[in-house]
Amino acid sequence: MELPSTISIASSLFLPIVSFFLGIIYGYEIRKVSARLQSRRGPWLLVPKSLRGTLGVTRLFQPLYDIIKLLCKESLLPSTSTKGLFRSSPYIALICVIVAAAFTPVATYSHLASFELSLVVILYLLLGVPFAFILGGAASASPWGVIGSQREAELMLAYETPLVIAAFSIATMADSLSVQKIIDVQATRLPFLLLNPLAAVAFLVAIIGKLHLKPFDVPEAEVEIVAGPVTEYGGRLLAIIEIVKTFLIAICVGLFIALFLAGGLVPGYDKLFSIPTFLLEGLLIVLVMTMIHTLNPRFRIDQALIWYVRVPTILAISGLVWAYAFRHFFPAFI
Amino acid sequence: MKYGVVKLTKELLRNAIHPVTVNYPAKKDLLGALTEIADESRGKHRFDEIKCVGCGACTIVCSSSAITESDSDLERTLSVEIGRCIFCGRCRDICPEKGLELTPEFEMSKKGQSANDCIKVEHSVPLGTCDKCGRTTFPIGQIEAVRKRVNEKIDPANLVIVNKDMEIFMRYCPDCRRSGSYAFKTHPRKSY
Amino acid sequence: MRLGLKEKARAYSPWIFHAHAGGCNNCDIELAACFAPRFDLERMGIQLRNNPRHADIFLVTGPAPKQIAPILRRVYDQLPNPKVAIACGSCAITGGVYNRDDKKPNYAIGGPVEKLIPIDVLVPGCPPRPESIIQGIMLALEKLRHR
Ligand code: SF4
Ligand code: SF4
Ligand code: SF4
Repeated sequence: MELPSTISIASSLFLPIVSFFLGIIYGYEIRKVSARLQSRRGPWLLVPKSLRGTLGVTRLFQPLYDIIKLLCKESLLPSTSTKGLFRSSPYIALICVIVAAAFTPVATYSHLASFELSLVVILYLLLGVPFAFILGGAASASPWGVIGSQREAELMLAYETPLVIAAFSIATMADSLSVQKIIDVQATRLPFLLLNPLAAVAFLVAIIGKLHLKPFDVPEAEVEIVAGPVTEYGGRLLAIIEIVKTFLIAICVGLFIALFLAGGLVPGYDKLFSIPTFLLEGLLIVLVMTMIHTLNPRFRIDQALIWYVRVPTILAISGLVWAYAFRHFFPAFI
Repeated sequence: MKYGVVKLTKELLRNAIHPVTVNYPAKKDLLGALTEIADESRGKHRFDEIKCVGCGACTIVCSSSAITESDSDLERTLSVEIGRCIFCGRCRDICPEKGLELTPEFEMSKKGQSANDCIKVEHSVPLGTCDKCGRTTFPIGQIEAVRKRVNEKIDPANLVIVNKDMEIFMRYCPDCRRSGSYAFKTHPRKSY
Repeated sequence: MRLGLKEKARAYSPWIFHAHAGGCNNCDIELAACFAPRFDLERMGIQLRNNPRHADIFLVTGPAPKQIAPILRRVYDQLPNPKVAIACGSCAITGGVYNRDDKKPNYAIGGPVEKLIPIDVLVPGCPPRPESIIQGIMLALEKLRHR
């Protein structure tokens, strides 16, 4: 790897911002599409004229407004909490997620992604997010927070295994742990979605667990445990958590596209052409996740655990076996 | 179970094409009436300026004492405290003159700190005075209504004499009637 | 008057906390209808949060019986500023059917909600129609912007 130039530093500072806005669009899409599938209207794209004075022209940036509003609110600290840990854990998650965003390529553009171990770095940084949530929930000293933390920990154990195994089966096929290299390998051949669909499905299901979408929103089950680990958070600290979640959507989707869809690259086309394809694929993946989100009721925590071991983990392991077999039988392909 | 998922997915797609959400602000026709509202929806009250005679039957029957009457020297004011009313419609049902109706208007929210800021529907009717002592008595409209009803229901044989009695009777307050009924020649024993 | 981004964002994404203080549950059903497909409140970016710490709008239904009265105040204090409170339904405003006469108050009622917490918007009706609740929320947004 070359020494970091000014361009590379600038781009790695710029990438998290792009990721954040992508995350906002994805967040809006989740809300809009799930509303439409429930035969509601969802946040208005164009607000009716008579309400524009109060509501503005469009709701497209709804998650952004939520965050701004929360940033301007007072934050209350529960008197029984461990204050230092309670206050700092959202920031830990934020740092993890911003660094991870700098490593995740947006439409093949990322200087840090060409680092040899970038895939490992991203996976570890993403692990930091649930970890910070668990700490924050436990430090809030509220029963809901503690139950939520415990569920988060259990769910993390469940989804982290297929996520890592699926990612590494792709690394095995590409013979590299660098995300940039994985993209480049796919650019000359078929995307790994077609070469290793087992790992792709396992990875997608693991992402759904990571983003707390419907069948696996056990830690934040709003009718059982008020809001899980974030129950006691409010105001600015909650805004940080919302920012983390926004980033998380963008990173998970970006990672999926990088690993399985060549980061939007279409063989035979220019690198610049990957930007619209990246956006399209991102919206499509979020659409699929939202369909699953709307279609399913919530698992109980033990059901979620057993299901994760039974289906995605097995899928991911067969994906790994398939990757080794592929390397063995078609060495010329690698 | 697998078939169930397919069926559900079909349903989802159908939902996506046909949202059932109604418009907000609500759709209105050219005259400003709401189009998407149930029949006989009970909303804000409206007193009929002519028909309501101010008898006060609605204040007695009201479930939550939302309608109150208050008499001043010249008129009786009926006021509906919307913040207390439960829109049961008993006042409308009991009204002998059909002088009160519940319109379908429902947008009654208001900014305000206390119940006094809530909207009120008010209606006042003029009160008559006693010919003898000058006190305020009954709403004029009510007297007329009573006269009309008695005339309708009474045996025609007695019509003339009763009318003559009423002519005098209706002009006095209850106290003056009691004390001066013999002098007014309306005492029942006079008829024998 | 020009508004900053801060004031605008406040009105753009209000989150509601629904406090059930006695009452007959009918207002709660109408509020649920507000979030259901027919009167979808998420059109305006409004979400129902079951958590006072996340909410901006405190929506009370019911006449606040004596047992709930102190808790209602406590939950109201748990909302971070800026916040507005909406009294939804006749019994939240005056006591409605439960409180026929202000001079002889019902023995079980800790007062209409206005005695316990500062109210900003009144939504009469028993129960109010969902559109009426939406109108009340719109009025509350105008207040919330200037808090
Ligand atoms: S006429 Fe009807 S509306 Fe008027 S006071 Fe009597 S009962 Fe009430
Ligand atoms: S509708 Fe019912 S509660 Fe309302 S004023 Fe009439 S009788 Fe009273
Ligand atoms: S206002 Fe009426 S509908 Fe609402 S809770 Fe009270 S009694 Fe029930």
